[in-house]
Amino acid sequence: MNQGGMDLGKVLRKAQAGRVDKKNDVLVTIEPTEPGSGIQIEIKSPVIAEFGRQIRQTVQSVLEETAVDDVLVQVEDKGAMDFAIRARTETAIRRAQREV
Amino acid sequence: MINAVGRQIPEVIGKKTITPYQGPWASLPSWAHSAKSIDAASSTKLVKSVADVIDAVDLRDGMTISFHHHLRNGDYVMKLVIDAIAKKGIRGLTLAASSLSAVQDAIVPHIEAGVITALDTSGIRGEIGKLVTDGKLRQPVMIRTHGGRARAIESGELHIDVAFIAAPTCDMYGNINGVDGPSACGSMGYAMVDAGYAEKVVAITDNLVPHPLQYISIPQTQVDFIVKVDKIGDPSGISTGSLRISKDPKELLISEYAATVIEHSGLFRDGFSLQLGSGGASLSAAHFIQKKMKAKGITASFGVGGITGVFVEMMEQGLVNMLFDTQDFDLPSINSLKQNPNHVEMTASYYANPAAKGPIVNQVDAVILSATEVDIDFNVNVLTGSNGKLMGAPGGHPDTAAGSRLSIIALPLIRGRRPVVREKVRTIVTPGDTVDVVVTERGVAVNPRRKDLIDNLRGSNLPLMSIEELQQAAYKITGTPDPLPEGGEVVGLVEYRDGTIIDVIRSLKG
Amino acid sequence: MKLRRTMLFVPGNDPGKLLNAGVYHPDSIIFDLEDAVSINEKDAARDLVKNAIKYNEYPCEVGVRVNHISTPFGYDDLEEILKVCPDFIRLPKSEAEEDIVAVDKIISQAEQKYGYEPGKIKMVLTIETAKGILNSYKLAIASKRVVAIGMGAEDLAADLKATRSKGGQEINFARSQLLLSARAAGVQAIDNVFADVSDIEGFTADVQMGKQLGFDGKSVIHPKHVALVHQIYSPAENEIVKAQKILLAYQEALANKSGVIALDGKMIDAPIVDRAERVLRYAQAMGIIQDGDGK
Repeated sequence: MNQGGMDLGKVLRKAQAGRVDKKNDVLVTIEPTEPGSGIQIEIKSPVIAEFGRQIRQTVQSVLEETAVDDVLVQVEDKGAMDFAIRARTETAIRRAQREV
Repeated sequence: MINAVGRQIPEVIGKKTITPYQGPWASLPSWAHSAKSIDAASSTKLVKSVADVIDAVDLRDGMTISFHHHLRNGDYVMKLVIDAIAKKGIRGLTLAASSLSAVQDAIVPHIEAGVITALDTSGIRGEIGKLVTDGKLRQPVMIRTHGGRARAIESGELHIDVAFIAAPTCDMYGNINGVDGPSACGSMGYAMVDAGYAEKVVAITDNLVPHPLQYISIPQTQVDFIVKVDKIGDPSGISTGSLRISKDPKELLISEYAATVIEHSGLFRDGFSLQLGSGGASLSAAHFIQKKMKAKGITASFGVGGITGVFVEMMEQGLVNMLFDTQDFDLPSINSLKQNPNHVEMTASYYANPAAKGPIVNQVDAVILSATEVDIDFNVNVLTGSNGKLMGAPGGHPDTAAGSRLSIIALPLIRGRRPVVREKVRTIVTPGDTVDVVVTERGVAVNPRRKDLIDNLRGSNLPLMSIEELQQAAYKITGTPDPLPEGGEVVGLVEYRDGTIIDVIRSLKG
Repeated sequence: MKLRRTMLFVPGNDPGKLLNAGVYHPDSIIFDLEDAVSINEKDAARDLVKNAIKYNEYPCEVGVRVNHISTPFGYDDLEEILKVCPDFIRLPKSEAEEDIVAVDKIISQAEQKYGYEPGKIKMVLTIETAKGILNSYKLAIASKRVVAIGMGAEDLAADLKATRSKGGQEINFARSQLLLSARAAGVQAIDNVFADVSDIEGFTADVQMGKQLGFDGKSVIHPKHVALVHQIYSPAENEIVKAQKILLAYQEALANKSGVIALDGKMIDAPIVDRAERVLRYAQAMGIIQDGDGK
């Protein structure tokens, strides 16, 4: 299912979405890595102990839905809920897929 | 053993036998009344330096020294004194503070070096908190409520050898007040208990004035020595200019709900009494309570606190007849204490001591308090985060929750991504049996024990729900938090106001 | 008809505000992708609002103010937002019937594609130009989806070459014209935003004026305004009593199969019965009377 409706495609460049200076937001940075290196997700969050696993899962599932692979995703969380993490990841991917 | 709120409590800590918490109104033991030894005053009380006064009071290894926290985050005195003590090579002291603000992180080296080896306080946070949860103290920190601390001191359970009292103004014969001088803090309520019961009392002041002082908080009869120093504190850390009402619409909504709870509680009548904490929601609730009081044409007989300018304003408008004050948070309240005869300074014992013959909290109708987290048994944590880090203070929370007729906990349902209403709180500080209503922006839960309140609030238009519904609403938004590590050995005891142990603090590894 | 006493605008790129919009209990929430979002964050806000609607629960209807379809963002907004079935789309700068029709068509296609009930997604129009005001009746009937029309007072005042004032006399005619068009078209009339958030007195007077003119509710940009508008739109006790009497007389007339409705010797016409029903709906929403009272 791909109700998020993202275009499947390759991550071409480094891109970001979201911000770190606002409560409940999250800054997601995505960049392409070597082919075959797979998905790496790095998370910084004030709630890493209680929600780190769920944050990772959310990012991972957006990447899978959009068939994005071979990327490094850095998540700088400010207490965002899943809907926002999902949205910021989607936007970052979309921006990273855009030709400059 | 398991205590009455279901927490595992050790039976013995060191040589001390632990009495587990048995319920908020379990029969209180009777306490002996302690008194300090009597000795005549020295010919002159004024001593040249802090170093000299440490000799004068004959401070020795293993003694207990006390400090108050009226200078809050602007206090210089605790560091000044303990620096001097360390230089003399004295070790193994117990530090009994009415609270520890972040500024006291400055004494961490002295704890690490063994000058201070035990802590007894009503609040703990920052680096000192971390030191405790890292397991670096030889014995568990004792955490008491404001009322419980007064009880422990008056009964002799907490015996203070030397009280070092930061004195915003002191006269040549030892009369002290907090309302004058460059480091004015207002009420000296917590220090008054120490002064009355410590074996030796040292006033440390930056505003030494001729005898006699007009406004007296701590009398000359209790003070052994006086030391003049350059500065006892930083005014910007002691009080704020004037606390403003929040503009955050969510916080305003919470405080409006809290005020509406009071309005419909059945207690909102002419002559009711009110306590407001210094937390944001509590402060802005005052704004809505004022409006409702004016609309109904009633006045309050008295207010209690932790006083802020908002309360002072209500008194000046004739909405509150009297204020009882243990501590001030801003300049308007300090000025009011000095000038307004209806604004009265009280000791921590008068405020909240359960063993006193009647603390003022027993006469409070409604109180609005904050918290770090609440659970589905209405238990409240104001001491640790959900991760177990020490970051707060029981203060008078358990005292006034137990004493008042209506205790309201007002807080956001979610902070960042943390659900604030949870299945279990990390640390129980105020037992759910003494908590009546939990108010959040998404719902208001009344303790099922209070059927009368539930009936009264039904016609109020408040979003009433059960505490379980509230907790589930929070988890639905945040997700269910993964369980956090339980923690290791016991590094702190959380004492209920009656001297029993309601919970423990455990060490955090990694 | 659904009550729309308050339509609360919420900036579309602020996760905290999107999360909490429902706690103020407005009758409608409008997530704003237009004026509240800067040009280079349009894509991010779109994704955020889409996910907010999909994953969060709100206690009221939720709509989205999209960018106009003449901008580079309008069609993308519609495409993404319609995936999550908002209750309504609020269209800014409504001026030409063909734009309304075009958007209606896009919504119909989405309803079909995603299997939503046809006609489920409504439209609310914001009219912000002189041309739009003059055309407002036709705009309101251009699509069956249109349930309400409102006015963007700041842009309209600029278009009129008027100077804005607190009292708002410069937009009086437009405000009345909008109401007239709404009533003629059988849609709701939503009063315009009062921009100075700190001026509670001015706001109160403005809401009272709107209510007196006959507006159904007001667009607001600050959560603290919600309860205030609901309070002002709450009918007075004598209004409620009178409305209950009118409806009772109406029901008696129906029961007696009498073509003539009379109360205290005066004839009552259909619009008066309609207005009485509306008074009771507003009273119910405030919890002043229970559902079914006087019916």
